[in-house]
Amino acid sequence: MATGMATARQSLAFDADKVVQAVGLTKVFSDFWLRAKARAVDGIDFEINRGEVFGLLGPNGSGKSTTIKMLLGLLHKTKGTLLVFGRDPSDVAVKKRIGYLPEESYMYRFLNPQETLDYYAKLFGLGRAERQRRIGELLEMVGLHQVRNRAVGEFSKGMTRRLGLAQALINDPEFLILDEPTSGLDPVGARQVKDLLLELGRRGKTILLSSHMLDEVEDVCDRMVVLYGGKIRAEGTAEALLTDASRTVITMPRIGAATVARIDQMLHDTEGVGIDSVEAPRERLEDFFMDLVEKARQEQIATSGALHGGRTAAFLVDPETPRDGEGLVDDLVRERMEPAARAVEISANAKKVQDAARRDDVLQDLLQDKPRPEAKATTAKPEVAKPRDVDASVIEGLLGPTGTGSTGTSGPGDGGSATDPKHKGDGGRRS
Amino acid sequence: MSLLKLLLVRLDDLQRRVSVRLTLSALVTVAVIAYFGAAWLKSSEIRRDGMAIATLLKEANLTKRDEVAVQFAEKGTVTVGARTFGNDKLAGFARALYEADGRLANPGAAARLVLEDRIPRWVPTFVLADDLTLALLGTVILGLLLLAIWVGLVVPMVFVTIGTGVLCAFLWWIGSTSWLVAVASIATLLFSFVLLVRGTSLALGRATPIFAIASTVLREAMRLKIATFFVGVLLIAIPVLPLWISRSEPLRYQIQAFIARSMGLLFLLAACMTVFLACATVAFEIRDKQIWQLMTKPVARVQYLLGKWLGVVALNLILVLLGGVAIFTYVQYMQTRPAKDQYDQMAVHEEILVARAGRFPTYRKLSGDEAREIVQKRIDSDPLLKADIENGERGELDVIRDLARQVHQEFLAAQRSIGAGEFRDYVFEDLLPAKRMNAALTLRYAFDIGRIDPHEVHSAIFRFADGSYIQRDFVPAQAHVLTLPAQLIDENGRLEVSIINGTPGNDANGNPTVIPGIGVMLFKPDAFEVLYRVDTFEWNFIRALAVQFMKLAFLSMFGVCAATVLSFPVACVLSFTVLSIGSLAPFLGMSLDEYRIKSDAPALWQAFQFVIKTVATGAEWMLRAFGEVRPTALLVEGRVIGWPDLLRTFVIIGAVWTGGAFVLGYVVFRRKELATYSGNT
Repeated sequence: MATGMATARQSLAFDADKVVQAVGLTKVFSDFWLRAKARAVDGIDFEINRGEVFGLLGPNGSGKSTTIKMLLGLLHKTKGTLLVFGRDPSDVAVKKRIGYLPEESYMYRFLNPQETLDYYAKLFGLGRAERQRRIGELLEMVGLHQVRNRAVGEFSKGMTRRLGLAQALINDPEFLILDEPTSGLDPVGARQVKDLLLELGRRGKTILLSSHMLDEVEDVCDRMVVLYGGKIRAEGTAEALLTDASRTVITMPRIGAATVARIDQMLHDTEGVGIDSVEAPRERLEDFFMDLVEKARQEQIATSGALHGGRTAAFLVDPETPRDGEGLVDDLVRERMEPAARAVEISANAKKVQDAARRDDVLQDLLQDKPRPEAKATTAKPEVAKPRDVDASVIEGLLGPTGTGSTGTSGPGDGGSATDPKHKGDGGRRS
Repeated sequence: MSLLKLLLVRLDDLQRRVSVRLTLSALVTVAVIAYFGAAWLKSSEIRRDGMAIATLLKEANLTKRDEVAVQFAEKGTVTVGARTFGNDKLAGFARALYEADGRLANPGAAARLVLEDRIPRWVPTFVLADDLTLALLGTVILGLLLLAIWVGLVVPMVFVTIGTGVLCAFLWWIGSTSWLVAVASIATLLFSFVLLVRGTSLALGRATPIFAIASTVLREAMRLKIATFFVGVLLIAIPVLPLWISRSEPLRYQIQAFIARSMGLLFLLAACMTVFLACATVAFEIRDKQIWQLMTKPVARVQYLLGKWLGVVALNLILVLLGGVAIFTYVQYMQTRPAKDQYDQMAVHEEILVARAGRFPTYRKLSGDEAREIVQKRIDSDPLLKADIENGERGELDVIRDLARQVHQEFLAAQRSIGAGEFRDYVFEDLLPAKRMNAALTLRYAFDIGRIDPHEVHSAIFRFADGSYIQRDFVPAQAHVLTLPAQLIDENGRLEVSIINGTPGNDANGNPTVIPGIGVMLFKPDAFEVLYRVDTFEWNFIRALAVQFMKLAFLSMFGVCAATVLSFPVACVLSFTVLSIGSLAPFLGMSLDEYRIKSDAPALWQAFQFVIKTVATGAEWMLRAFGEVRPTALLVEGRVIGWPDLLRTFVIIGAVWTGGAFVLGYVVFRRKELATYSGNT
């Protein structure tokens, strides 16, 4: 982190690959008598690369919202340099490329969703036909198409939030700033937002995500900074920041106590370590909830409020992206998560069986206490995205001749670890 | 879905079809053109006949026993070609219209009286009065109908018409025609308002920030009821006002009262609505943080201010237009009410529904030397005053200033007093325009005689340069008018009038003489003037509305800009303060003329007075133009709101003030941080 920022600090020339460049950014709030009241942001340096999903974390009062407001021109910086698309944030031209979802959705209570989105679309100079098309698709996407003529003042918080998300996307922005995007949404809606962010990220959108929901930041973001007291306390990828290189987790189908004992003995003999704990993984509450709702949806139980959204709006979809990727995302949105049997989530359906077989081979080998030829490890390497929450180095270490090597090194600041940040599973998590 | 709802949906679908809209448009256009076309033909015929009659009557002299004059005076009829106009009911009054020299003072008015029974019943009288009225009304009605068709409001319009028709039929059945007219007018105005708002929203439908913001302001005004309260009160009050004006008063007073109250109400309610809406639409957006989402879109701050202003101004325009059409139509309608007498009827057309310019007599003023000499003499002749000055009890400058003002006033007042049996000459200048137009002059006078008794009647004689004279009785302190021919104006545009305080009579020998009045005759500076027609009431009315609109446009900008930095209540208070000071600026100016800082008062008190006077003078100077042009008062008195006045209002209020408020607001707003600190202190 330090080396990268040092380069930026020396000279802040516009870099086309960087959407946001901040050097020494400071914001001090003053009272009526111009006395300094609060130092909300204190000399932070950060950059957001084009096409990256960037997380902004921190407790209340850490400076997240202030930073975002400075990016949007709602606040003026006190010191430092801040460029968005190479320009001052208050430049009107910059705002054509930005979509913003604030922490609370401040909608006009007297407008309905149709009128709200039409209003914002007009501000971008969109023609009538284009406006109608986008509004229709967005309302469909966020599940508000049935209440398009109802005044926003009658909406629940979640419905207003969905509308807020729709207005943030009306201009198909290059840079999306989301402040607590899942606030007020039910788990289904939150999952859909996460899926949407992942898809938008895959489409090359740059996203700045500020959230207290640490799991959603972890699942979605390529890089993140953690603020406290207006200063950056940590910065890097989730892998770099969160990986505990001193431990290994292996997930497998259920095995008996005797087998566990044998594995423990083998580890003791080969690695000199033992098993710390053996647990049956629990299904995540989120997955359980999603299953339940999906079943109810298939039974077509009516709901009077917002509907759960549909496909991503067509205008947000890049037509040159391979079709199977898009279809896969949609499948993942609808796919029921089965507990227990699927502990590892993969990004390609086609590889499920292959990987399952590979796991069996590995276990078999472990139980037989035979080192695996390196060639097998090589052929076992999947061509498509590896599960990002599985440390491939462990597998390869077990499979390799020495049992210690890892083919990919992951460390802090290394955006290209064993997992490809562009191919995240949908909400995949470590068990 | 119920049957009614189904029917409504079907009808709504039907009215949205282009073919149906085109058909309805064609039908409506043909119907309106046919009706108003026929009315125009009739109006032209009446006007043609009127001009022929007026020409004949103007050339005929009753004293010389011209045939036309005799026929008119004795039978109340006039024959033009093979046609005879008028009836014997006019006979007695017709004779009274002739002056002593046998001429008619106002042939045009006489022609109007003669043609009254030729006006058809299938069209309101006021529609025929003027081509402009006809064209305006026809255009407005056609425009509204076409707008209703193309914005998809035909079905609601039909239902509103049916509902109003039922109610009006009931009112007609119980004999309440006044309320019938009022109810029909209210329904028409309210529906027209909805139509115009819808049409304006469509006009503002372009995909630009300014238009989008303006369109949303309109929606906000309608849905949040900020504006609808004032609009509703206004559009209901205008048709109901005539019901509260007593019919026992002379018609000219009824019409004056209606114009004064309706125009005053229009401006007051529109101003209140403007202030509340302009302040609310910005202040609430900042308070509720919708502006955060708005200003993160590609909207420049200048566009934001202009968009908000445009939305409020659009609503002002709708109100002023609609209110103006309603007031104008009602004024024309009220002309059909019975007048007290024929003088009252003539006064309506010659003094109220007209645009006149006025001239006061030219008075001599004291020169500086003359004034100084008189002041010094007074000081020298008043030992007490001299003593006060020498003792320092009164400042010499204060004394001189007070005395000088007093001396000037006395000198002018002396020119406005006429002793019993005496006379004084007055000259009115710059009357060439009246002479060129051959417009009849109105001499307006209000004399005091030292006591006010409405039952007393005194006499004054008006003598002119050509040797003719007119004797008139007057009631002290009441305004009277005297109609004079334009021929009395000389080639230099001067009218010379001598006023004699007395009554024509004979002396002991039977020779003609003047019997002196019972006291000194006095009049105020604005109580003696000559007025002449320079334009029509219609154009004057349009100019009056334009002035009101520009004042509202300024208020809109002021409110919008004030609300960018102030909270809603504070912005409202400030805006209303500006409105009040502006409206009262003329009175404030007069008060400041009388306000003196006493040089012998304690220093602290003098400082306080100085601050008060400075602030008040500054406010009066800045806002003077707002109150100087008083369109309602001028309309009520039948006085012209000239094009120069309108231009001056446009430049000062429309361009300088509105632009200045905008620039100041923008300078402050562009650096304003819209977001707030939301962390821990």
